[in-house]
Amino acid sequence: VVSKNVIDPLISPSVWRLEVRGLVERQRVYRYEDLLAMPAVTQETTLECIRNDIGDGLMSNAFWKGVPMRHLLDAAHPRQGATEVLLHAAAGYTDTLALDKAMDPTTLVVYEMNGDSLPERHGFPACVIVPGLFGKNNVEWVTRIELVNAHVKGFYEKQGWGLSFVVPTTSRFDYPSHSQTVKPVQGEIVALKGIAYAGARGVTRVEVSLDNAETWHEARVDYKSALMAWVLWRYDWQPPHPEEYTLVVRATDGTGELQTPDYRSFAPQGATGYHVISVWIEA
Amino acid sequence: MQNRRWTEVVGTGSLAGLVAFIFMTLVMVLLRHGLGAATPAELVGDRLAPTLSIQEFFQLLERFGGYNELKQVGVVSVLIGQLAVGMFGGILYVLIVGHERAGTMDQDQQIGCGKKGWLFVIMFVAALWLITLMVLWPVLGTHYAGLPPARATVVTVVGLLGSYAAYGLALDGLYHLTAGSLSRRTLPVPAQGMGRRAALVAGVGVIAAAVTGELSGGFTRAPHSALTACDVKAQTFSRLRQMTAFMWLARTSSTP
Repeated sequence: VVSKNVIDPLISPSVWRLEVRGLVERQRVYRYEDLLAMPAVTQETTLECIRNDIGDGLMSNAFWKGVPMRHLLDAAHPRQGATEVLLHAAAGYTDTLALDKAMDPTTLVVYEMNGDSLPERHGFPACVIVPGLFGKNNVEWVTRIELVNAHVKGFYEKQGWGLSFVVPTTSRFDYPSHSQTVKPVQGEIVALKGIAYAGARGVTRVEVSLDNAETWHEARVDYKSALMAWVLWRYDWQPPHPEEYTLVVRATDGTGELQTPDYRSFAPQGATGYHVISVWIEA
Repeated sequence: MQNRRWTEVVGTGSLAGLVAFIFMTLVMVLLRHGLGAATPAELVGDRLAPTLSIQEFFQLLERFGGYNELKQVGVVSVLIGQLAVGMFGGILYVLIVGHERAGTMDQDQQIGCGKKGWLFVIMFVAALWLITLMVLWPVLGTHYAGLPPARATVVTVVGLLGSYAAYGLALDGLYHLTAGSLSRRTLPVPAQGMGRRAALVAGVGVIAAAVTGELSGGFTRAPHSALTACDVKAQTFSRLRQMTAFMWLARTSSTP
């Protein structure tokens, strides 16, 4: 978790309130118990930090339980002209979402993570989960959902992050690691493993190259559940000779679009490019 | 003789301002701990961070060795700033109020709050409060126990006023304790009696600092803290250093 806070909030459920206000016909205020009593969904979603560089690990996956934000918005009756949702957190953090995205059934106000109450560091008592957008949009300790008719820059957006916060398709090697020396027994297979993630678009295919992107081989997807979650892939490789290899991985998203090979740094819109590693195969 | 007076003004004012600053910090920590009210040490960072460009932000991260380190530098910088303002307020108080009163009142009259003292305290506190509200206005809706922005803003605004008022009250009260011992220098009293009140003020400051340190230390050691775990030994050393500084200042300003 990347937190802007010196000391994270320690929310008292009896004090905490979630307001829905702004361009709405009926302002609403919810207590923690109100949220728990509403019809809930459980959804597996991966979150990735916008600072996650190619091959890095600022990404994780969890099962989230909560109320679709659209239920809260519908109950408040958004007014004509509302285009964005400004989210406020107890810790003073703000961020915005397009109203369409906020109304998406997969955008949740969650209060459980992996079957337990949200950990304090993950935004207890409630946090917003927006599949497919970078972690900064998933506002923790949320206290107000405000409908507005103009774009309001959020905490990090004011620094120049964005404009787009849609997660680009990414994939990485988890084994072996870059510059690792692997010594397979004669004829033994080296199991290349990793993850791939394409935001809310889902991953349909993962390929690895064993010759620096000259040729590609389809990897096997070992774990794939929700569209918004990462997949775990594996490729059983039998290295022909003991030498140095340059391995590359790429993924294809649910729209059929191939991960871009063009390297882009994580600032300001998230990193793109292939994860390339060198491994030494010893005799 | 003139130099001596300036030393006394600066020493007495600084000491009173320093201890009053500690009282203010104690009130802030109590409000933060008990009510979740945001402190300037946290709000200033939140106010400034969005004004930095990405490049500036990463340059700072690199310079200070990481995000947590940058946050700690930010908090310490704000505290140093508050301390400087607190001591400046103390010196100003002595210059404007204390100097005149010492010459026009006898010792008994000096214990307690005169009209001029109150006026200075009210104006100084009000100015600090208003400046703080203006500078931190966009982030006043912060509340670490979960209140929504509007009510959070009320808590922050009132909390800041309470903290600054604590500073003002402490400044006025502590100055008179300190000044009592200094004014006796003109009287034929034994040298060993001098500085007793200043030492008392410093002692009060040490206790307040220890309590403040303990409470804020509890914060930073708490599992929900966003800081890296603090080294207890380093904290203890830091607190000892604070106390030593108090005692040194007290002695400098009161020992004949």
